[in-house]
Amino acid sequence: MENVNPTRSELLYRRQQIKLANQGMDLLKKKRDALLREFLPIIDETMRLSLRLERATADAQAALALAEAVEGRTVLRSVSFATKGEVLVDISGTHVMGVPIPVIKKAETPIKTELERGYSITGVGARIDQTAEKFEEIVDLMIESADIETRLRRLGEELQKTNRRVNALENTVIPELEEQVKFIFSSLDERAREDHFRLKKVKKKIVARKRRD
Amino acid sequence: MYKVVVLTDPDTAYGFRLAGVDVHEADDPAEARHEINRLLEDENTGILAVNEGFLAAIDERVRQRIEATYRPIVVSLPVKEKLGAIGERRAFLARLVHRAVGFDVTLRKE
Repeated sequence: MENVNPTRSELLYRRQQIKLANQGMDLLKKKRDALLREFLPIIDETMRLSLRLERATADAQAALALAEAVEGRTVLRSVSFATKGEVLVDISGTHVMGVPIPVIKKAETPIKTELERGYSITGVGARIDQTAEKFEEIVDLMIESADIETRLRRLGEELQKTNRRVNALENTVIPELEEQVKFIFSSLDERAREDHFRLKKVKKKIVARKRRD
Repeated sequence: MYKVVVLTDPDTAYGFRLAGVDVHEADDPAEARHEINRLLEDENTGILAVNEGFLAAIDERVRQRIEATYRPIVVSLPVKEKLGAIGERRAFLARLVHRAVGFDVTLRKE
């Protein structure tokens, strides 16, 4: 309270600030609600995708074990190293509620035809083809997961930031300003009473002097 | 255009090689940690997928680094190993949500 000047203009200024802070808080609260509405379905979707990825991985691992058992480790090894191609992703950006969010898209489909895989189709059994297909599915799901998980994270961070701001305004800034207004108000009152008292005192003196004369 | 890179155990590595992604192998979590640090440096990597068992074993410093990095985006792979750590993926997501909203959100199955 030390650095508050108890003057009328200061009082008006603080009141203005309180109004502004309240407005800001309302806006931020609305933003928070909107973010939460975006956020909740994403949690759901992330969870669903995660489960799909878990199932696909278990599947693929089983297929891989089978392929290894049928074809042998050496064949599997040589085929896997012979496989050509690489998987690329495209990362672009978008905005959700003013939050920059990367959008991850697969650049080209890794599901190749059997002929393009890079190994001889007559040389290896169907087990290996199946395994390759299953793992390609995992890669697809993985890319989708990366997209949705980043979205979840970015929106979450923004949500947290907004929350913190709302709390700061609600619990610190506004109460402090109100306290200051109260202080200024009471000081002004006090000063008015002092003035009043002083006038009375002066009046008494004047009356006494007149009586003496 | 960015690469998709997978860091996994030597057994599963064959499978991912068949899928045509860039594969790095690690025998144990300690080696994986080393690899993760190295792979995070790579500018051309868009997505880095790591076995959830490996992700579970990394220390706080690397974890913070992963979370602070814009690219590559690290995703956990629910590959089952002898080491266990099944369900770490869900814990990873729950941690993510917890940090984001400040309270725990229960993630249900359907």
